[in-house]
Amino acid sequence: MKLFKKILLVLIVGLTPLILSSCGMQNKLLVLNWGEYINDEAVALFEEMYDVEVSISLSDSNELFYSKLKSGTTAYDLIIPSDYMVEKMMQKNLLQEIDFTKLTNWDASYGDYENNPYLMGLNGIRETMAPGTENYHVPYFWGTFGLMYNKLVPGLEEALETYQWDAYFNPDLRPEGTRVGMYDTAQFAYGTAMLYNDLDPNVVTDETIEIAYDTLMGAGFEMWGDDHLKKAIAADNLDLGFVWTGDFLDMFYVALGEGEGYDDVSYNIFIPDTTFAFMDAFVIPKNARHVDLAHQFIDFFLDPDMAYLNASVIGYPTPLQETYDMITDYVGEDQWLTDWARAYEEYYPDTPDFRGIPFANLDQALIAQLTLMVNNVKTDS
Amino acid sequence: MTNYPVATLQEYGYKDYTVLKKIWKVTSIILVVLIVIMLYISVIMLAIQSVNSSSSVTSFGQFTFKWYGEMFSIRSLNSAIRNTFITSIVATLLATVLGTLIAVGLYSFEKKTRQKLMLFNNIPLLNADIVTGVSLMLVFSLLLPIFPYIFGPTTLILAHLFFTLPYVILSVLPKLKETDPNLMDAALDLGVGPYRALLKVIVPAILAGIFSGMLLAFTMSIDDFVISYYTTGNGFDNLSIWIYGSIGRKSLNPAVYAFSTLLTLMTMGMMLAYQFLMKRGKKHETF
Repeated sequence: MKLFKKILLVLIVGLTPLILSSCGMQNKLLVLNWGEYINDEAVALFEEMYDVEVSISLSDSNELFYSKLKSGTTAYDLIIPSDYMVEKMMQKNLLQEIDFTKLTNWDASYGDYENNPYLMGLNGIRETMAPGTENYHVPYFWGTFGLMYNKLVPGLEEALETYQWDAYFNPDLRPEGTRVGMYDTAQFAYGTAMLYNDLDPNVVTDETIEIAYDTLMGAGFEMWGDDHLKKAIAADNLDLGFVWTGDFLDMFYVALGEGEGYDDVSYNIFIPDTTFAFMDAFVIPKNARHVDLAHQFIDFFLDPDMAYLNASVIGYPTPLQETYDMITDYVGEDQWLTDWARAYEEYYPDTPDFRGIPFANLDQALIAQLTLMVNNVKTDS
Repeated sequence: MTNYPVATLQEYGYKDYTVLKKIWKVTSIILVVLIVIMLYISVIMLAIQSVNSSSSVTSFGQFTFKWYGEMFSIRSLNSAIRNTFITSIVATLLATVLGTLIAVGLYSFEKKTRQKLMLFNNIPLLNADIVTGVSLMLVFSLLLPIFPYIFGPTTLILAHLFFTLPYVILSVLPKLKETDPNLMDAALDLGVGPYRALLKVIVPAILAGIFSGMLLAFTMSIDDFVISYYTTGNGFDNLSIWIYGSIGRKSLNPAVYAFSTLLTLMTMGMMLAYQFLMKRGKKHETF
């Protein structure tokens, strides 16, 4: 009997800490974030300051954010989905309003554009969201799409600056023999074609699909790809392509890190005045258990210095005007900080005439229609 | 005497296959090498990438071990690795103890009953991971009103216990069959109590089976994704969940390659140990 008791004792001793550990959750902030999307140093500072533990889980798509929120096995305190998902979650009543009075660093009076503490580039994105959404989110990072081009083609840069989207879609307006590629996602192809035609890129009807088909056919794309586009342009196998600005910058920063000069890199990106953009934002789910702590966390990352520290490891631009100014105003010896300031200024425009439009969350049936149209373009051309 | 021509071997119907045999031997070696390369090329690529200083997979910078150091400095990766080991070690130890006891208990049944019971043991083994994962999640969700934070280490370890237990039972039972059925009686006759007899007589006799079951359970547990994905929560992510979550917008950090290489080496080492134990167990039979 003794041995049996011993075994039982071992099992109890083994299992108790496990069950107890789940009780020690009182001071643990549960965050759901994208991969490599926060500066661990800043998180450690937050933990030290408030004497809490921050646990960060990762998600790789907006849909995963949604399903994790709905499944209910974990009550996340703070999640960071993108624009359209914030809207969807709000409409499905999954979020709680953010109490802006608790955010000491949120200063609506900062900045000169309609008393907004955020960059002007963000306004286009926020305007397209459903009314009321602004009470539920605090922007975290944002980004744009642009036209990456090969600097070795004479006249291409000028053509882009003069004609913008027209140079991308109209072969007559760009240097002869320019090899053009398109991102292989039906909604991206359709959306850009709509921008070229001055139509709303997030409305799909039979006529607009027809227009998009003609536009895409007329553009003479030689290559459809995703990651390949930027590599092909860097390798001088392609001259122009629609890419994520963040993707371009990843590659650009690596090239700078390997000792290439800012102006010696053989490729560059042009950001049209009206282009696609996205924004990721902090939201607090309705069933969050540490609401105050979540507000403190948001507030912590609204602090311009913390936002600066955070932005220094993330390739995407900060939405905060004050932090943006801190980055772009850099004057000094440090080569990296100088390049960084220049890249921010050139690729993340802070001018009133820039407008970023987020991609809407289209219905599956519409996506299927667009995919069919794009496949027709590929086979017919 | 006429000189009859001496018949050659060919005339007796002998066919000379030495050349063909040689060709066959060479082709078979080439084929085996090709197959082995095809099987292991992914692992080799991973190992190469883990010592590549450039984080781009298409170009090789310099030989470096920096990713091996970095995997412990990335906060979330570090905790994911820790969680993986905590889960696997605790679940394996529990599964080994419980599995051995269950196997001994099962063995004392009549053969027919035992076979029926073994069916229950085998169903979780053969069941699809996703079914196991989702059904366990549903079961644990029932506890949510009582323990709001139940999801996490507790559920993850219980789930791992659930799918590793059958492996331990399966590798202990055959060893029990090899032992003398009168061993227990003899021990009792010689004056030890039943539990002491179990520990001092039965367990040493089936030790090789217990160890091999333990290794099997550990290798199954450490790389599990599907079941873990559904049964964890509250930020307690293991490595495979972390990797799945981090391949969203950016390419994977090469530290993951470094850890995967280490994990592969460890699994290989364990499989070798398993083979070694099985062999040693076989040798002992002859005594």
